[in-house]
Amino acid sequence: MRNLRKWLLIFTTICLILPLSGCWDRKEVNELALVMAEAIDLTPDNRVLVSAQVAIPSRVGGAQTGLSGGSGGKSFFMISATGRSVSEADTNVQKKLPRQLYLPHLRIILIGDQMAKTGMMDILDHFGRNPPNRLRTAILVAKDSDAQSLLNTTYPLESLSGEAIRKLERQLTGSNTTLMDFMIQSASEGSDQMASAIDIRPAQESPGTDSSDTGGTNGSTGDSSSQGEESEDTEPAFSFDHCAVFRNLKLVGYLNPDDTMLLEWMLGRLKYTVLTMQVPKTGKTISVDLTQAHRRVRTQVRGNQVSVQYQLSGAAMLLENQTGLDADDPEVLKTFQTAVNAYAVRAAQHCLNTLSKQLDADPTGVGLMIYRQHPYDWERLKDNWHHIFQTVHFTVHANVRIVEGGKSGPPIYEKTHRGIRGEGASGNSKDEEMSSIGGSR
Amino acid sequence: MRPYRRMKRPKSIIPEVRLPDPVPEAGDLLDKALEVKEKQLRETFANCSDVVFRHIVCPDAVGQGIRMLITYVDGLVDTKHLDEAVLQVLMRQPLPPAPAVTAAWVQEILADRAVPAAQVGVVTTYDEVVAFVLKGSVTMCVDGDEAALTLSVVGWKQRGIEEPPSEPVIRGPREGFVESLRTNTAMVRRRIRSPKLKMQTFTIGEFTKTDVVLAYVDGIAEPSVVEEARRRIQRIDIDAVLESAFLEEFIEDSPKSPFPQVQSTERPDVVSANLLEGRFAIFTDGTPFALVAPVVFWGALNANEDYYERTFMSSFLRILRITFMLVSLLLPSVYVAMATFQQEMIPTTLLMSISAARESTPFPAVIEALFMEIVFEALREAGVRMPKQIGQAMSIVGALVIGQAAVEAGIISAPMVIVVSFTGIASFTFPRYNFGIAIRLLRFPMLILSGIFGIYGIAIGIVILVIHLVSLRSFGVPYFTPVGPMHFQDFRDVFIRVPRWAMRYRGGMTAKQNTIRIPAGQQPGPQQDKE
Repeated sequence: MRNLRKWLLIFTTICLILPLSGCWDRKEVNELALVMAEAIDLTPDNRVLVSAQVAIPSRVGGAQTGLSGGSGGKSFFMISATGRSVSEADTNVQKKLPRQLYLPHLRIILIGDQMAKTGMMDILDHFGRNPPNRLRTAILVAKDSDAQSLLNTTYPLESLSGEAIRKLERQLTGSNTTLMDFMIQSASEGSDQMASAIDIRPAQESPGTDSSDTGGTNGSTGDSSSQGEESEDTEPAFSFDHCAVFRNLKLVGYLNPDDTMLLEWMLGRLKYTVLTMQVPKTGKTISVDLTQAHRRVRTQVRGNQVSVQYQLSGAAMLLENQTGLDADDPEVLKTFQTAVNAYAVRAAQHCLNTLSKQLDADPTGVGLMIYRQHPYDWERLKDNWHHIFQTVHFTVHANVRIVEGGKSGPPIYEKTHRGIRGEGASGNSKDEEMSSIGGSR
Repeated sequence: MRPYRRMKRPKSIIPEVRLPDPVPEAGDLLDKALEVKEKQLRETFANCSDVVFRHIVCPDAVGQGIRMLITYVDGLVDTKHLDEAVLQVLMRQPLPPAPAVTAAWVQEILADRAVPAAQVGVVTTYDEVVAFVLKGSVTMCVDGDEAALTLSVVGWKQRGIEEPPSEPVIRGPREGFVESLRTNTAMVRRRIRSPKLKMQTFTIGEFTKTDVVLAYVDGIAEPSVVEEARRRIQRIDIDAVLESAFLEEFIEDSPKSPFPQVQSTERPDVVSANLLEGRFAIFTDGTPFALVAPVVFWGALNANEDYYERTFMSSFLRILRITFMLVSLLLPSVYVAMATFQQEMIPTTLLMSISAARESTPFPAVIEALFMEIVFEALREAGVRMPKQIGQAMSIVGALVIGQAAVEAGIISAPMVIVVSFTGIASFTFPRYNFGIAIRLLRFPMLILSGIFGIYGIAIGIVILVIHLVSLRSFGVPYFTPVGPMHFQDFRDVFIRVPRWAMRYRGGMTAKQNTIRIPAGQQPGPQQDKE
């Protein structure tokens, strides 16, 4: 009895103490403003402009409102404020919001071109220090544009444009460059940073406009802002193929699509891509589907002379063959293979040249490789690395195997000799058919 | 002086009041004269209209006849059998010749030679006579002898043996215990045909005088445990035993625990299996539920059918049950914790739909969850108590109310309905009803904890729960065995069930002296030549 009373007393005391502290940090989901994406820009007067893309849950989730999708309401709204730092801007954004700014579900951070050029240090500190921010947040750069306008566009397939950007990168490269990746790159010895760049193009490209796929290194400026206000029949769409290269956390330039792909390959991040190249002597192109991309790097240091050898490898499947040659023929396949490898070597050299000679930035981590492979030499080289990097001698070998010629050997539309020879003995032709199928395996 | 002392009440000085003994002349020896005996008995059974007194005169060799008084309770006795097998014999044929009725006459003549009944006994006191009459025996008091004959011609109406509704099986024996003690013990005896199966009878209850049988297998069961059980049963001083639960609450180790430390079952196969694992069983007259102890936490997640189905299915079901036990205990609180404190743990897309659904709901998630859980429990309780015909209609109304209307009216959010119904389904997966009740109850403190502290509160709750469980004992056996104190040998029958031939050992805590259950090397397979 006494025992029971004692426990009762303890229980009552606990129950009474609990509300006394007055700190109940309960917050219902409908008291939160879920920030799905944040755009960070630099205003002309050097203040940080933070634009938060806040989801409107009843428009995004909820099957009840599923039918009213045609009403055309945006499923997010943008709210922005400026401040001297990201945190101050966040606080100022909060002042405009009746709900608590909720950052843990932030999926992407979009950095404006100007902001990135000025330097990423403040941003990285904010996102690395403030607990609600997650390191898995994807970080992207708005190519030649301010981030806010990019985030403001609606995207037809995804209800949230930030989500569309994130998925776009993920879909194309298999993973997102997260804040963590970026920080690892910036914290590691002898490596510069890179992030995916995003810009806006019309969703439908008319035959009249020339494609900017083969554009130069720095792309054409003002491309996205002009096409943001396209006529209504061509909705704007995000396009992801460039990559932003930083040096010492400052944006120095963009790589064109081919260089971007090769950079990924040389970083060992490439999972899947489609390569299109000309086959020598035919003047026609083939397309291959590259998987299992690997790379091997070896560095050599002799005095101040550094040479780097890249060994690229992978497996490819023939996707398209404009040459009209029989892909079942091992000789032809060998030709194709040589073409693919030559293309890879050429493109890699171009990429490395752009990086070392033009941008003088080292996102491939050549310095990191030297640090790992020649730690004593690195001590000597590191202070002067950015000068030495320009003189690094790159050699690239490619060893891509074409493992499969697709569904048919020669172009399937082509009339083969089989019909003529088959007139004599149908049994023979069948045998040949069988053997040709067997050969393609 | 500590402050709480002041709240103490002075101890009650009123002594415990007990009703006077219903048989006042307890222990008195029977008188010789039949008239005195009849008067005494009639006084005892005053106003008991169901007690029958019947005078007969048996012809004897001398010819003057011997007067007898037959007393029994109408309805408890098979009167047809009494007429045919006893009265006819006694009244038609003369009794075997004997000297006049003297002291040992009842024993020598009546019991040994004259009355053709299987179970007879000789009693010499009034309260014994009364006890036997009330038990359903027929007592015969003879003029001139101080002893009375009791014969068992019990014949009250019994329920037939049916499949136990509380523990149905797909495969397995379909008979269940009934309300009669002897039928139940016979069902077990039929399964364990060994003299090692011991059954000790106790009579408990001031008024009910209920027969209680303690059964165990000598040589398997731990003698100290059986001795402890015997001691606890004998210690019980109670007015009535109407169900085995009356005993359970007296013999369990920790009455303040929500977890049952004694298993109750309606199935003779379950009782037999437990006896053979070194546990003991307690049968109570008047109820089909037998008690089995000592039991452990993990045993509550085993169904008897686990042993009748193939091992893969049984193992799968066990893991399923453990999972759903956790779901049943934690799902509403985890949902509440995540929706009100740790929103960052919810996947973004899911958070969107939860957020959308909760946009217009008026109550906080905790209140919503508590409300829904209570409504669900009420529905369930009503479903059990309602007459079957109404139950149907009510469940439809209930499903509509909590399922659809509440969501459409914007009072409850749709994810909450999913969570609560999922929890409801999970709580039906317990093979043992009384264990499920414990989990159902603990859901509410968990919910409140998570509503106050979030995931942290759930962690506190789980820690407290585990501390409680590992400190709990059932008849000296730690409740969390074989996980609490590790017994790797017993792991063959906890999370998975190994095939029978691999279940070589009996439970390590309950059968210490007879551990080998099955000799090794009986795994079926191609015949191998052994030299």
